[in-house]
Amino acid sequence: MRQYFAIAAFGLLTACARLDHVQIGEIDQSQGTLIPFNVQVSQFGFEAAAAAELGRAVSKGRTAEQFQQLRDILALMNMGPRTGNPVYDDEYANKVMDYIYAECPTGKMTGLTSVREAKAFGAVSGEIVRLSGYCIL
Amino acid sequence: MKKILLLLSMTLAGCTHSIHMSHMSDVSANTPKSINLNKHIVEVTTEQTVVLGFVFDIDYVDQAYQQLQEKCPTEIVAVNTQYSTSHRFLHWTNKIRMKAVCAS
Amino acid sequence: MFKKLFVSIATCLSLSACVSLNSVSLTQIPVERDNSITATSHSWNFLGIAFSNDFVDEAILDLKSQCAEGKLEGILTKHQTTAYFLVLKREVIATGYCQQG
Repeated sequence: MRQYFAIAAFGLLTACARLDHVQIGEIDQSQGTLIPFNVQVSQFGFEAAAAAELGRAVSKGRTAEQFQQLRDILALMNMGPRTGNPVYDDEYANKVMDYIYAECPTGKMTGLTSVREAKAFGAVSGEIVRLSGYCIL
Repeated sequence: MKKILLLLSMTLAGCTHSIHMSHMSDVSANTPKSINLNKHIVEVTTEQTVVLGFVFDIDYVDQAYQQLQEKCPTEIVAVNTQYSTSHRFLHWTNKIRMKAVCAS
Repeated sequence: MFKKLFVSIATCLSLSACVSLNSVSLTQIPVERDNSITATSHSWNFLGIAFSNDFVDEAILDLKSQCAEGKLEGILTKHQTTAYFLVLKREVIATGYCQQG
């Protein structure tokens, strides 16, 4: 039991960075002073089937069977391609454009970089959409 | 016990989603200032339902591209393209959302 | 009877292909949208094992050659994978508008 606590404590203290997609746009340094900005939105990601699989792996007998059934049901109910862990709200990144305009009200921007990344530990993660760039003054 | 399992799985399953990517295009000098932004924003969403992975085209992407151009016949700047999937029982829905500024 | 059915199913599975979208991006779209051009490049591999991604550059070169001395705008880039039986086709499709200066 103690070793599970040790693993859980280690897991809570460390999180791995995951990079799924990155794309850099044009960088124009000839129009004026560039002020960097960074906009980030995130959502709690949780892979319930993977958590059930973990439960199955650490338990025995009837409990393990029940975890296995739970894992199978969850897998069937959440079918589809995924990037990282699933989230429970797909609108969390809808306002990124509004946020970058809030950071750069003139609308003159360059060097826009789109990043899809996460801070992940197994079945739990923070799924992140990040946009960074420079506001031209 | 099976009833509890089913209830638990339905609660945990809910409707999960996955955002695969969110891309922001370059922003040209014609972009309106943020103060006028709301009246210039155009947004389209197209989707495709896939049952057990059997899908033979990805035309919904081109539909979003066409619909965005129909909504804004003038220059379209600052395009934010998002590709996501909503997970369901034995099927899923792929979605493309294009949000941009219509520089009219 | 079962043999025929099995062969039929195997044939259908081999010939039918399921498409999946990997990524999509769109650049700014110009006012002038007369000259639409498309470039496609692809790469086949067995069981998803690939040793090079050079096919991506072919699409860019093709797109450039179709709009020599012009400006390419409104580029919709799709990266898709088509899965046949044991074989995968990776594809990049880029569509855009060529503005001749």
